[in-house]
Amino acid sequence: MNEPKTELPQGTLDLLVLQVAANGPIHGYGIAQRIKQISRDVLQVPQGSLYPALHRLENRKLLAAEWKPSDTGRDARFYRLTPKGRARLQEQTESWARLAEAVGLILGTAGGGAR
Amino acid sequence: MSWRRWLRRRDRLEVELDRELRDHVDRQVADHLRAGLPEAEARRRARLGFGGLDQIKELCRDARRARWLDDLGRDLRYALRQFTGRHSGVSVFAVAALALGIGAGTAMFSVLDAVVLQPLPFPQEDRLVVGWKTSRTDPGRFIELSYPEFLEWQAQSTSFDSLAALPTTVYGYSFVLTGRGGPVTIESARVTGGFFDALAVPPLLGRTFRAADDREGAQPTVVLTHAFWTNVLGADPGVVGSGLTLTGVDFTVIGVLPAGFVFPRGVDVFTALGTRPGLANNRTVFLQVVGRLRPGVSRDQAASELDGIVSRLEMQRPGAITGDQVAALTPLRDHVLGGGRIVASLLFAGAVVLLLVAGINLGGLLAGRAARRGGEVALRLGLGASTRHLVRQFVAEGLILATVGTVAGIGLAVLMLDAVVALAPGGIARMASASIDGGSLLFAAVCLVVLTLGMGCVPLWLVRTPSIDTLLRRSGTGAGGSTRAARVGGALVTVEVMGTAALLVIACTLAMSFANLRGVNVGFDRDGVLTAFVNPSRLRYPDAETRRRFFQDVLARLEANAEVEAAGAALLRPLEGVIGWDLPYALPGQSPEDAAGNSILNLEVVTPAYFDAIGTPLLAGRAFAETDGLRVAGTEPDRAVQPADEPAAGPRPPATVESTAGPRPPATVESTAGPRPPATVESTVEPRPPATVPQPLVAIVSESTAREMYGSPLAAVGRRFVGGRNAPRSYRIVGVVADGRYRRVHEVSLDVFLPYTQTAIPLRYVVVRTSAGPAAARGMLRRALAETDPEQPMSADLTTTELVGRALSRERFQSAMLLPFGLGSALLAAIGVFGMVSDAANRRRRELALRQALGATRIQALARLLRSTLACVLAGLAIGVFVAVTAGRTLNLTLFGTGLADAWIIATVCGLILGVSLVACAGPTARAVRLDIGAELRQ
Repeated sequence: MNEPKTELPQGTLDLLVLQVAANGPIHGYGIAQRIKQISRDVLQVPQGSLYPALHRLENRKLLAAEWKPSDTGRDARFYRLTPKGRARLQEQTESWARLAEAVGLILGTAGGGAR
Repeated sequence: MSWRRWLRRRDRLEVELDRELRDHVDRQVADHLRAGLPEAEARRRARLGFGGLDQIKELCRDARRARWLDDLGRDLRYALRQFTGRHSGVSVFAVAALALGIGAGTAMFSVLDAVVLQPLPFPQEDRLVVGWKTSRTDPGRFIELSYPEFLEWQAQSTSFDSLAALPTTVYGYSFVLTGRGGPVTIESARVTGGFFDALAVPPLLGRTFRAADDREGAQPTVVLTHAFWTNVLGADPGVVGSGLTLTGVDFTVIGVLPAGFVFPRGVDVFTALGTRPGLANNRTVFLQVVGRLRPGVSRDQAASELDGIVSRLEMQRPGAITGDQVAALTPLRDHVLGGGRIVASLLFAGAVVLLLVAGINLGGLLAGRAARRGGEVALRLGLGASTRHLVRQFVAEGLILATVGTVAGIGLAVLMLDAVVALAPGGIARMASASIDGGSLLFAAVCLVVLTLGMGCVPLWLVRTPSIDTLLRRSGTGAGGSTRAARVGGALVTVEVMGTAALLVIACTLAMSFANLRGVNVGFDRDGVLTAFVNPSRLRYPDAETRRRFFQDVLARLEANAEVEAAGAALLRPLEGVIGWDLPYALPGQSPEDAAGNSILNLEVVTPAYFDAIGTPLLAGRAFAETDGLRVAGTEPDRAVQPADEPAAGPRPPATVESTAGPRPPATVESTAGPRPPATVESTVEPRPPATVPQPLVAIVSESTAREMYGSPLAAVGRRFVGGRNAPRSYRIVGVVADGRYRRVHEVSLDVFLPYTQTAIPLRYVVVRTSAGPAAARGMLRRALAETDPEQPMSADLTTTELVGRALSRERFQSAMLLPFGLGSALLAAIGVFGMVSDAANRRRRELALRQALGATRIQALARLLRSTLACVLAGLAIGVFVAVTAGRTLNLTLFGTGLADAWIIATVCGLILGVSLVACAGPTARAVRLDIGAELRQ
C-alpha cells in the first residue's frame, strides 16, 4: 500500500474504461482490477468515480450493459463497447497519443535547457 | 413511454444499481479473502476502499440524464413543504408584496411602452421635426410664423424633403357640423398641402391633400381622422366623395386617415390652409412648420440654414430688431410626447423601486430561511448532494414564489392599468392605448427569471461555506455563513432604504407642490360658476355687431333666471390650456428699447358682468359699462393684426387686439395688411354707423399689471398705456381687478381686459354664476341658447372647479400614483429592516448573552445589535436623498411653492423611514435583551 499511486488525469478514466471494455464484456469490478493490473498498480481507480463513469458512458450509448452470469456463477452487470463507443475510443486514443507526444517533447526540451 | 412504465423502469434501475454496487463489494471481499485476510478485515477494507455507497449512487443517478424531471418534481414538492410549514404567513406576505411590485411594474411598463417606447406611426420618424422661431436673447420664447414667411422657408430651404405648416394650436379652428344629427362642434387642423407627404402617412381610404387642393379658390376638401370617421360617421366605407357641411360650407371628403394618427392631437378633421382668401399677403403669425429632413441632413444643419432665411427676411422689414430671431427645430417625437415622457418615466421608476424592494424582501426571506437551514444544507452536502443539486433546490423554491407572485402580479397589473388610464390626465399622448400586451408580459417574464435566479442563488451563496465541517458544527445554533450573510443583508437593506427614500422624496415633493397649487388663490371663484364654449356661426352672425347682440340676448335670458347671480362672456376662459392672446404694451413716453423690457400682457375681452360672474373682485376704479361702447366716428375697419415680430408667451391663437379708436400711430406696414384669417376674428370689415360722442378706449388691468405699470392699483386708475407694438392704440385704465391665473395655476398672469363693445375680437365663452347646482346651470344655459338661436350648439361646458381640476390633473395624477408606491415601499423596507435585525439578533444571541454576563448593560448590548442596522438605514437615506435631488434636477420637475431639496420634506421622509425602521427593530431587539443569559451560555 505504500508504493506511489498516481491520480488519474481528468477525463482519462473514460478512455481507460473504453479501452478495457474493448477486449470483451466485463463487469465493473473487473474493469477496476484490469486497470490496476495493467498499469502495474500505478493507477488506482477511485471507486467513487468508476460507477458514475460507467453509467454516464452507458447513458451516452458508448457502452451497453447486460446482466449475465459471471465466472463466480453469480449474475453481474457486464459492459461491452458499442460501435459508437469503438469509434470514440479510436478517436480518443489518437488524441491522447498526440497529447502525450507533445507533452513529452516539451518536457524533454525544458529539461535540456535547465542544465 | 407511459408514466407508469417510466416509474417501473425507474424502480428497476434503482434495484439494479444497488445490486451492481453490492456485487462489486462482494467481489472485493472475495479477493481479499483469497489473498489471505481474515473475513472481518476483508470486509472492512472493501468497504473502506469503496467509500460512501449512497454518494456513489447519487452520482450514478446523476449520470443518467432523465433524472432531472424526477428531481425537479421532488424539489418543487420540497419547496412547497417549506412554504406551507411554520413560516407560511411570512411567505404569503412576501408573495403578496411581490405580486404588488410586479403588478405595478408591469402596469407602469405598459404605460411607458405605450407613451414613450412605441415609435410614432410615421416612417423614419427620426427625420421629422417641428419648427418655429425663438429669440437669441430669450431662448424660452416661442415665435410663430406667418403664412408668407412659411412660403419663404419652403421656397428657400434645401434641408427638407417636404415642409408643411399648420397652426400652433387647435384652439380657434372649430367647425360646426350640421346635417348629421344635431349641430356638433368639431375640431380641425388647417394644414398646407405637403403635411401628409412630410409625415409619409398613406390614407386608409381615398387620398390626402394635393397641391391643387391647397390653393385659394380650390373646392373645399376635408380629410377625416379615423376616430371621427368611426365615432361620428359610423365608419361608413363609402364616405370618400361624399359631402360634409362644416359651418355652412360644403366640403368634399377626400380621404380617411389610419388609426393612431397622433399629430396634432385632439383633431377631428383636416382641411387645406391655402384655400383661405388673401392668406399669401397676411402677416398674422400663427403657424408652426413640420418637415421631413433630407437623408443625411442633421437638425442643426437645417436650423442654421433656416436661421439664414430668417435673418434675410428680417432685414427686408423696416424697423425690425434684426439678428435676434432664430429658427428652433424640435424632433417631432419630443414635441408629440412632451411632458408625458416625464410622467411615464417617473411612474415607471416608482414602480421599479417598489418591485426592487419587494424582490429584495423576498430574497431576504429566503436567505433567512436558508441560514436557518444551514444545518440541513450541510447535512445534504455531507450526504453527497452536489452544489448543483442545492442550486436546483433553491431555484425551485424561488421559482414557486416568483411564479405565484408573477401570475398574481399580472392579474393586478390589468386592474391597475385600467385605473391608471382612467385616472390619467387627458394631456398625455397615447396614454389610452396602454394595455397589457406582449411587451408587458415579456417584462413580467424577465422579472420572473431575474427574481427566480436571484432568489435561488443569493441564499445559496450565503450558506455556501468553505467547510461542511464548520457548518455542521455550527448548525446547532442555526447560523450559517454568518458574516457574509450579515454583510449582504446590510447591503440589501441599504439598497431598499435608498430606493424608498428617493421615491418618497420625489413623491412628497410632487404631492406638496400639488397641495400648494390646489390651495392657491386662482383669482376667480372655484364654486358655483359654469363656463361653456359658444361660438356663433359666421353665416348667421356675419359681423361683430350681430355677434354682440347675440351674446347680449343670451346673457339677458340667463339673468332672467332667479338663480342666476351674474352672467358674462369672455374671449377665453381661464386655464383653457397654456394659451391666450398676447398684448405687448408701452407706457406713454417710454422708448421702444425700454418698452422691450415690459412683460407681455395676457389679453381678455369681456362683457361688463364678467367679473361678477367669474368672481374676480374689483380693487380700484370701476368695472366696464355698456356705455364704454361708444366709438369714434368713422368707418375705419377693425383690425386684428399680429405683426411677425411680436412675442408670445406660449402657443396661442393668431391675432392681437386692435380697435378703431384712439390716437393713431404713424402708419405702419401692418396697418395695410390684408384681411385676417377667417378662423379667428371672422369679420374684417365692419361698416358701422358713426357714433355721436367720441370715446377713448378703456381697459381694466389686474393688480400685478397695475404694479408693473404704475407701482400700485390706485396709481394706475385713470392713467394710460399703449397696447400693441406695431399698430398701437392708447388705452385708459378705468379699473383694477385682483390677480388671476389665466394660463397656468402655477403663476399669476399679467392680465389686461378690454370691453367687448370696443373691439372686434369675438367672445367665445359664456360664464354663469348661479346658486343652483352645475346641472341646473347647464339646463338654463342650454335653454337660453335655444331661445336665442335653436341652431347654436354649446360645447366643453365645465365648472371653474373642473377647469382648475383639469389644469392640475397631471400633478394630481403623479401624486396619486407615486405616493402609494412610496408608502408601500417604505412598509416593505421596514420589513426588510425587521428581517435584518431578527437575523442579527438570532445570530448573535450567544455573543449578547456573553457580553451581558461579563458586565455590559442591556443598553450597551442593544446598541451593538442596532448599530450596524441603523448604519445601513442611514447610509440608504443619505444616498436616497442625493439620488432624489439629482434625478429631480435631471428631469427638470415643475414644482410650485416648494424646492427639490426642501428641508422639511427631506426631514419628514427620513423621519418616517427611520421611524418605521425603529418600530421594525423593536420586536427582535426586545427579544434579544430579554435573553435568559444562563440558558443561552449553557447551550
